[in-house]
Amino acid sequence: MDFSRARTVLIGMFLFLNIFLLYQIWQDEGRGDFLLPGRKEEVSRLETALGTAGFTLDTSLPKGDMRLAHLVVEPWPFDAVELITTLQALWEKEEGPVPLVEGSKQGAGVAEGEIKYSCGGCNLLVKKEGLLVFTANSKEVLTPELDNQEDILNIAAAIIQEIPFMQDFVVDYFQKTEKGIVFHYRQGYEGYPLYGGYAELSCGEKGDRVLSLYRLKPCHLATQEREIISPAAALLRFLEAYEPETNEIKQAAGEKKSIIEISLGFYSHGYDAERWEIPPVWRIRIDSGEVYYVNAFTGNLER
Amino acid sequence: MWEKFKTVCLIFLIITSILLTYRLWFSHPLLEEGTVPRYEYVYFTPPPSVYEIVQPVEAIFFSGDKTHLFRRGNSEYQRLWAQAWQVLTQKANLGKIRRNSNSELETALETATCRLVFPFHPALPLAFISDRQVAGDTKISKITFLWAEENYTVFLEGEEIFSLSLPDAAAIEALLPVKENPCIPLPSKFIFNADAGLVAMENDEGLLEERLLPNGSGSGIFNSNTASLPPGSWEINVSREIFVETGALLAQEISLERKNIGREELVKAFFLDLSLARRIEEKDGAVYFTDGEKGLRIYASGLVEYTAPRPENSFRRPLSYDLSLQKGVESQSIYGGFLPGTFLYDVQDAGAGCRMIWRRVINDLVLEGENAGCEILLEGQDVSFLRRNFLLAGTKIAARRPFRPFTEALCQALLLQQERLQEREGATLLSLRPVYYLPTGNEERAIPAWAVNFAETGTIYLHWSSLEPL
Repeated sequence: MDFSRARTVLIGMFLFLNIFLLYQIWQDEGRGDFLLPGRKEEVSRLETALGTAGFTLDTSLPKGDMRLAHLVVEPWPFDAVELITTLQALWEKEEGPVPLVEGSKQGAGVAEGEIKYSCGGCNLLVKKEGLLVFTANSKEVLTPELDNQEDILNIAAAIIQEIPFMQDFVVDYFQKTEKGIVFHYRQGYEGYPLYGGYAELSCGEKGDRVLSLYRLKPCHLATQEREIISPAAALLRFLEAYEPETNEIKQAAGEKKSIIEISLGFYSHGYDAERWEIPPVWRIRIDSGEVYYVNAFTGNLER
Repeated sequence: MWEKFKTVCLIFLIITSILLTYRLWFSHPLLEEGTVPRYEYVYFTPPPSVYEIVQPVEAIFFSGDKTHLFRRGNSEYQRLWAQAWQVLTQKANLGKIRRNSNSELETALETATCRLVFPFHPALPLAFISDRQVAGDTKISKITFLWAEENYTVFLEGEEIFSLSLPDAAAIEALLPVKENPCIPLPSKFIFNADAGLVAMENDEGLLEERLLPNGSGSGIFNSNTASLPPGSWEINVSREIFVETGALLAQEISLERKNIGREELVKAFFLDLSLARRIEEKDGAVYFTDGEKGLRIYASGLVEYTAPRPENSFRRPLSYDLSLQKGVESQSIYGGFLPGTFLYDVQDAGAGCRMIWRRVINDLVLEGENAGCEILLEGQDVSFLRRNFLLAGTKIAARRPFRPFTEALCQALLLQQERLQEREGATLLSLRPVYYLPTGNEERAIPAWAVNFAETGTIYLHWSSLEPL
């Protein structure tokens, strides 16, 4: 037996094997189109499920194999008078002294447990669970024929940069409506989007603005980590929950919907509590404007 | 040199191929592969023995003219029931169980010299004593041990009557009480006459006794309410056998303490995985855990409330009565456990399942009230609702005082409910018991009380000393 020759052959074979393995890993990380037969089958199953439910996937699936924990948050402490005077000065730009702020627990559109503040032409409704709704007429009117996406996002960013209590918010996305444009902002924590803390700024064509702000104070991640479900699994769970609605919409519109975003963050609806934990979620955004959150631990739709 | 280099290179390639294969194999879980849930079925306390699942309401021993009553919590009650269970399950020949008619039971009762009676509410499943195939779903509401001349029998009464012959006197010798607690049965009718200030007691044969109403003629209780009391006689019919002690019943108010349960262990018991349960600290001091489907709220007072509107197990066919009871006690053992003196107080049908209520005996009296004890709603095999508030006896607040006589309690209950009872000018008494009452909203003390249960009005709790409604 020629050992030297055998070694050379083995080196060649292992070299080939390692190149193949490296290529496969590269593919698996989403940088290529080739998939192992098992994974191919799963992706094809996902595609079939999407097709049956009337969806197309217009975004790539992000990496999902990681461990996360709940995020501990507290309600954001705020001074309503300070907030409304700040916004009034920013948006109405009235000259002269700042008008007096009046607070009322009664009146039109004020439910039990809510307080409404007025300052000049600006109103602030403080809802029970901590949602703040500002309404005002701004001197600045956005040009309705904005088309360039980048320009719109820059405007959205510029608006919140002016507001001192929204400095840590980032622009999430925007939607054009019949009455104007709605900018969506969100908070973040350690690189993860915090969808539970959000702001929606609706800018009308005549300068009327409505800002709905639900801000959280993120504290820390809980100690107990857990593996999250993959984005594909989240999509499958979403389709299970969404299917009945889809049929109605499909019949009405006869059009396919497109999933335009799937991303990982933290979300829960608002609580009137001292402190709470919010789970990691896969956010699924559809081109129709619908947004769904799938719990990344349980796979349940967060309603 | 070249050969050495080739060897090192080959070893390197072999190692890297192993590492890369490992990475490729294990780094990507399949799409639907999740973390395997870990159920931690750890009992807080072991499930009780079969004879402890359903216990009799009381033990009554009849011997000639004398009757003795042993209520829950009494040591003699516990001893008698334990012995009775032993006789039923070990000494009686269950293979020879036979059906009897009502007249056979009546004849046996007439010829008996002594009898020991265990009434049950909720009913005892016969399947706990006998073979399931023989017992079926039969429920037993009364067990009677009879001593006759050289004839010892036990009757099991429910929808049907069964009997078992016992081999000899030695078999049931342990069922003779070693303590005394004389009592009297309530007559079948009470007639309260406000004008005369009298209470008359009658049975089927006629007038038994007439007594002056409380505080002598005129009655303190009636006097304070005469303005609204309609004239004439008011009747209370006693629908079933009710016994009250002839001796003075002494009791005192006691403080209550919270039973601290390991919060983490409790949360683990309810959720598949603790990391799935998110914690919400509410403004009233309560802590709420939820996984989006199930919710567990632990109040600052120690009260625990759990709801699971959509059980994971879709199998929701109601279980048989005996299996429901076993599942119920098992759930109780897992979700907080049993405290000494805990007993099954009531079982109610609730649609697809059954509602079970447990209470506790503290200082020889049952602690009752809206928030006392534990309630479980079992749907199929799943617990869909649980409310648990077990409290421990703390220090004694005041000196022991006797309960006001039961006639006064009945009279006061009648007066308090007169508006609701006006049409019938009377009421039907279902039960009359001395208990501890836990006032809603003030769960720091337990007050001794008469619990008067009229069929028409439900249970009224009266302060044991002042007879004020609680």
